[in-house]
Amino acid sequence: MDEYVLETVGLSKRYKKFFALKDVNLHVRRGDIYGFVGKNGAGKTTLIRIITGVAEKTSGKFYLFGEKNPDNFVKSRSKIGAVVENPAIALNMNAHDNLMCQCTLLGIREPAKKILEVMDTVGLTSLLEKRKLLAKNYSLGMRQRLGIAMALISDPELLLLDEPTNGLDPEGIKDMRLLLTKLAKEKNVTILISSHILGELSKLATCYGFIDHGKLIEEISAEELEKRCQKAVVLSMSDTSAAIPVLQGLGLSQESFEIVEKGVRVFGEINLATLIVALAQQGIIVNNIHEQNEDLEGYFINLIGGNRHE
Amino acid sequence: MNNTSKKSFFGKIAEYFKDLCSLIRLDFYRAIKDKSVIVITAIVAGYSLMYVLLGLLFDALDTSLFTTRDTVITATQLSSMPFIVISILICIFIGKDLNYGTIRNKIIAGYSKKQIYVSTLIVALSMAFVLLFLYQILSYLVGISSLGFPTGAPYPPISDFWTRLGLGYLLVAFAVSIVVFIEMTTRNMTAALVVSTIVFVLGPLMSLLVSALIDTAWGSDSFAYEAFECFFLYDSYVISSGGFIFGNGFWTPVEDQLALKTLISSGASIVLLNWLGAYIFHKLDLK
Repeated sequence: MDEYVLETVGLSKRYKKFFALKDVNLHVRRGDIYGFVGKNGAGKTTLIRIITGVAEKTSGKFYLFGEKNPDNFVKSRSKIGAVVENPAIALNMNAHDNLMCQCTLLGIREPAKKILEVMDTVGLTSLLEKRKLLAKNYSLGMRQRLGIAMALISDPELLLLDEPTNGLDPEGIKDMRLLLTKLAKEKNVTILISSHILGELSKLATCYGFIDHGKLIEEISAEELEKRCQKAVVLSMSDTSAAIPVLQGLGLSQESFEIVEKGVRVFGEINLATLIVALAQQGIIVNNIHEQNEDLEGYFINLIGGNRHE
Repeated sequence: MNNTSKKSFFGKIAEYFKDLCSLIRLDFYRAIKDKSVIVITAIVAGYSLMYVLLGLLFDALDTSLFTTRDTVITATQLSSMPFIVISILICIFIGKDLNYGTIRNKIIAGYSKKQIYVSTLIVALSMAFVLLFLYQILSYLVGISSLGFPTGAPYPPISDFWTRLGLGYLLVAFAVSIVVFIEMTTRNMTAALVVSTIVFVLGPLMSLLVSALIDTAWGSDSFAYEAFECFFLYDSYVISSGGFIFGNGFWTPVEDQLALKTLISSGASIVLLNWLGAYIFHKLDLK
């Protein structure tokens, strides 16, 4: 059985008649880098706010680290680190004082050592010497990194990041990606990142959840998504089961094609004329042929576009 | 932050207070680092010395307008002014936590919203008591050392002094509870500032005005007057007006009935208001 660090069951959030989240069943496994994909207003931030306790759910349940005892639920949040919307830092204090606040909150015994460690992780050690420089004078990138440093103070098992690359320049985005990859690999931190910068997300996510209009449309692993996005030809036909021996007869291995709804998806290069003739000889009529060559962005747009036409 | 599943009732209580202490420690750390705390402390200290300076001025001018006794008594009374200044500080202090979003860190760290409400209230009360004590002790000590000990009318028993001090601070606690309630439940610093100023400055005036209107229209023995009498009493035993009565010089005797009324009404209001505040805050979505 999979160990979920975060699981939601029928989670909903309603503001009067508007559902910001509707019946969301989300699953984040230990060690995942979970890309939470959706447009602005899709419900990404709302879900993170509910998980972190900042907002209250309307209905449904969610479990953190498999904890199902309500008495322990609030406490299990202490194993979370989060940056929700904007980094939660006191702008009238410097980096050191902000981190000291976090250490006080978490009861950390050796704050100086811990502060140095997290600032080193996010690459902001130089800020510790600039005690007179207050957070209000930091750049957006520095604030984001300080926000992550604060989230890391507790050595979290689950890191929730809401649009962490917002407002960062390309170099900052790259640094953020490297930092998150390092955290996942070296510290075995499970990460949930909400983002709509899909190109960047595709470089580090190990699985995805797609959300639109408050509904989780699909959860998919990175491998599965890669498979679905690789270059392929989709043939819609009258009899898919009869097509399998035809494809095998043409020398295609089992991995190079898959049965989809009312058709077959064939990966890689293939001589289409030969395939259609071979299928016709077996009495299989090909109704439609289309080429598929998507990236994450295209996949997401198709997914929500498809949903919209339903 | 340990798991609590197998802990006894007393273990849970101990952990609750331990968590509360961590939250209070954090807020005091924030207060030390906050420039607005320093500025407001300076204003309160300056205000407390104002009457003493006035007394010295009148002494220098050799006028009988303002005696030493008047000066020291006026300086130590609990008027609306320190209430307002202190409520401004509390609004700013809580507002920063809400506006910067640092209150989210407390929730994510595993503290309940009710604990956060209680700790915020305790820190706000501490700030108010410390500043008011500073205001009173500074004016009293500087007043006596520069103008001499007030002489004249005979002093009531020392117990009256302690009753006045205790009830005065109870009224301060009620006032602080109102400020914390408004700010935590509306999450709006401006609203808290405006409402608390209205309550402290215009509250007693409004209750007087309404009671006068009903008295004129239907008379003081009418049903309407009796129904709203509790509201009219606001003027005599709550917030700035009550604070004024109880702080208005420690040398006048305490009126027992008023003291009891103040103790019961303020104590009950404090408990009710804060229970309601913590409950509402617990249900709220934060920014």
